[in-house]
Amino acid sequence: MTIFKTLGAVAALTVFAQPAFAQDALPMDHSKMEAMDHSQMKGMDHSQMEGMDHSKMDHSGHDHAAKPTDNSLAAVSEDAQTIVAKVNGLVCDFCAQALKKVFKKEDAVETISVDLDAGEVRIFLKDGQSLSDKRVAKLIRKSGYSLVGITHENGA
Amino acid sequence: MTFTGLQYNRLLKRFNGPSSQANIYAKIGVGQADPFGSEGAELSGFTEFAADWETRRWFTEYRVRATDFADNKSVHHSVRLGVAPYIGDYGDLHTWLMVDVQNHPDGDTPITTTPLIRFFKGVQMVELGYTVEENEWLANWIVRF
Repeated sequence: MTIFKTLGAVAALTVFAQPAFAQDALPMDHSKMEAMDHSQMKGMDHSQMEGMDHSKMDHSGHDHAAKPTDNSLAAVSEDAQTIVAKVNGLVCDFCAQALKKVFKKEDAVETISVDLDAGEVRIFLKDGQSLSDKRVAKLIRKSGYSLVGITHENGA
Repeated sequence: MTFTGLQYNRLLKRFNGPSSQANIYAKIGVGQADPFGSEGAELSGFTEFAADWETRRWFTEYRVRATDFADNKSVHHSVRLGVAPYIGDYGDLHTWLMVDVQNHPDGDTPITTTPLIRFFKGVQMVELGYTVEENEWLANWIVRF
C-alpha cells in the first residue's frame, strides 16, 4: 500500500525560476553613483512622495518603530541610513524571502526588514554606503514585486 | 503511480496589487514513473499550467496537468482553496488550512478531496494532508534557496 501519495514528488527538485520580466543582476560600481542627479530619472516623480501622509494609513496594532524579530536587525543602529520602499504584492512571507536574498547580495546593504501589513521593505545601509533609487527599483522588480514609491530616512 | 524526477517551474506573469497577488505558472517534470514497480522504470513526464490569486487571508489556485506516465496518459484539473486562520508578520510561523479537489477523468476515483494544512517559516514550507477517497496521506517539504 502506498502510504504517502507524493513520496516520489518529494524527491523531485523544484527550481523556482525568476519571473520572465526579471533581469539578471549586473556588477555595479557604486563609486559612480555619488554624483547621480535624481532629477534626470524618468518615470519616478519624487515630488509626489514628499507629502506622503502616513496618518491616513491604518496603523492599528502596527508600530513602525518596532522592528520585526530578526537577529540581523540587532546590529542595526537607530540612526542607520534607511531606504523605505513601498511595494505591491507583499502578501506571502514565503515568497518575500526572495527580497532578503536579493538585497543581501548588495555590498551597500546591511540588512532589510519586511512589513507585510504596510507593504514596505526597509533597506538598512552600511555606514557610508549608498544605493540609488534606480537600483532599488531594479532589485524590487527582480524579487518579483512592483515598486510604488521610495522614501529615505536618516540621510540615506 | 509513483513519479520521481526533476521539476522546472517558470513564473510566466505576476500581477501585484496593494493587498493581493496573482500568478501564472508553467511547470515541466521529467523523470521516471513507478521506478520500483514490477515493470521497471519508465521515462515519464508532465506539463502543467497553474494560476493562483491570494491575499494575506485567502488563497485560490487552479491547475491543469497533462501527464505521460508510460502507458498512462491523462489530463486532470485541480482546484485549491485556502484560508489563513491568523495573519502572521514577516518571520512568523504561518499556517494555512486548505482543501485540494482534483478531477482525474480516467481514474478509478474521478474526484478526490484532500484537506491539508500548510506551515511555512522563513525559507521552509511543510504541508500535510489526507486524501479521503484514496485513504492516503500527503506530505511535502519545500526549502527555498
